[in-house]
Amino acid sequence: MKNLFNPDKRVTYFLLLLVMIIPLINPLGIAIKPSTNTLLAYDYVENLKPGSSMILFIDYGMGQSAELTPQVLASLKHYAAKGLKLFAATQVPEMATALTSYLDQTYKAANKEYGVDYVDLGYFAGAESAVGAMGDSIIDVFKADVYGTDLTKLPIFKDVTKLPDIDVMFAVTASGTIPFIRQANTKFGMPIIFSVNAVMGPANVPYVQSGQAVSVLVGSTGAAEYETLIGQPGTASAAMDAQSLAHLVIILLIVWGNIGYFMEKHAAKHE
Amino acid sequence: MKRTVPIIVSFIVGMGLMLDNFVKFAPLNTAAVSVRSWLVIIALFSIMVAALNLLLVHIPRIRKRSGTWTQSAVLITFMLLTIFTGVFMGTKNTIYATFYDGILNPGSTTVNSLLAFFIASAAVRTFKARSLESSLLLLTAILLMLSNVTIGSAISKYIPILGQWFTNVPNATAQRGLIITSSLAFVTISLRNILGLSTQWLGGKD
Repeated sequence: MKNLFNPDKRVTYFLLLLVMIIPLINPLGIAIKPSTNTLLAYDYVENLKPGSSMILFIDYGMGQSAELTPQVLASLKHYAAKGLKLFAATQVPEMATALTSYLDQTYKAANKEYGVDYVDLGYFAGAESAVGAMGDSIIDVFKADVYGTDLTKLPIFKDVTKLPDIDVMFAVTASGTIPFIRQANTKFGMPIIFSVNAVMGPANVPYVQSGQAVSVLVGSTGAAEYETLIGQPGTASAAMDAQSLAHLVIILLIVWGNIGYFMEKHAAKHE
Repeated sequence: MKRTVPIIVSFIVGMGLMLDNFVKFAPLNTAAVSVRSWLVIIALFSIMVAALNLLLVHIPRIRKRSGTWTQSAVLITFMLLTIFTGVFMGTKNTIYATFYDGILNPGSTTVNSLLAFFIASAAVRTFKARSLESSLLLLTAILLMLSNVTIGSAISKYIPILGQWFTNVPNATAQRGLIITSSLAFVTISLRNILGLSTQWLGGKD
């Protein structure tokens, strides 16, 4: 009886694996309805004029890639379609190569011209201090792009030299949103769209409510909702059914364990 | 002297950068711009220090064949190979790309994804309605788990609405308190460092 209600962890692992694999092979097609947060981010970008500028900061490692990369790709596809000029950089060394690949899959794939419509600034050291220094001059922090081209020679830098010259920031982070708020929003009133992993979502709600952030895209769900809004279902949309069923199985197992707990308690009372 | 000079330097730099946010005074503002660019250069050097530190820790372990020396050997070999191929052959060459796409990317993602299984197993074994507080936590967790995935709205249109309310009202209220208190603590710690009242960063005791 005790074992029945407290299954071995291998049983939990197996059940989870099963409910995640089945919908990936045979999707259930549960409708994805965009949340308020995702709509806020999407509508904000929709209302930007073509030619507006956006700076992308990648602040997560490969470990969080499964959750955050779909958000980056969906958002960049939207920005490219809207004709936004993109400045892209990362403060995580291992993500410099990934960043180039994200730009290839979105801006390059949309036939945008490198150096005119977008620029790959690559890795920068110094985290918050460097973002603060970009408030004085982006060119001084990077000097050259990932291909070694002097930034002053790129047309995209004609009207942009420092952070406040850029219209919006898109910060994708798994470590913290506060440095970006401190250095960009508090100092220059820069609008910021955040993209965070699921565990960080609730902690960042106050920043959206206070107007310090435009919106916060949260986890795979946020990515799937954004993919739905731009009409290009991708990996996040495909994984939503699996995630839904995994959550459902965990809930059922928790309820099952609690039934066992109350039965044990009841039996102990009557012994 | 060894302690006084760093304290004086940190006081001047700290106060200068703080005042730069409030005072319009050209020499101060120009100096603050320079200091901010130095910080980026110092951070770059710290990466080199970290790489050297890895070598200093792991090479003696490999030499003495002590402990998990084979893992140290793998770490150092791949670190040096990645640096060599990246610096001298560029990040587009096949070897570098294989390390990145074939080892780093799937390896990191897999290790991180395993967390989902551990968390699920731990939740199943420990989430029990033992008291009023734990029952409330349990019910809220179940509601939020459902509201954060598409199946929640498929079960009932009220699940996402309730989930949103919990996130925007009780959660945001508590988070606001946490943010304000942690910010005050951050200001206090920064001031103690700038004023030389806290010297732990010098390797000493408070």
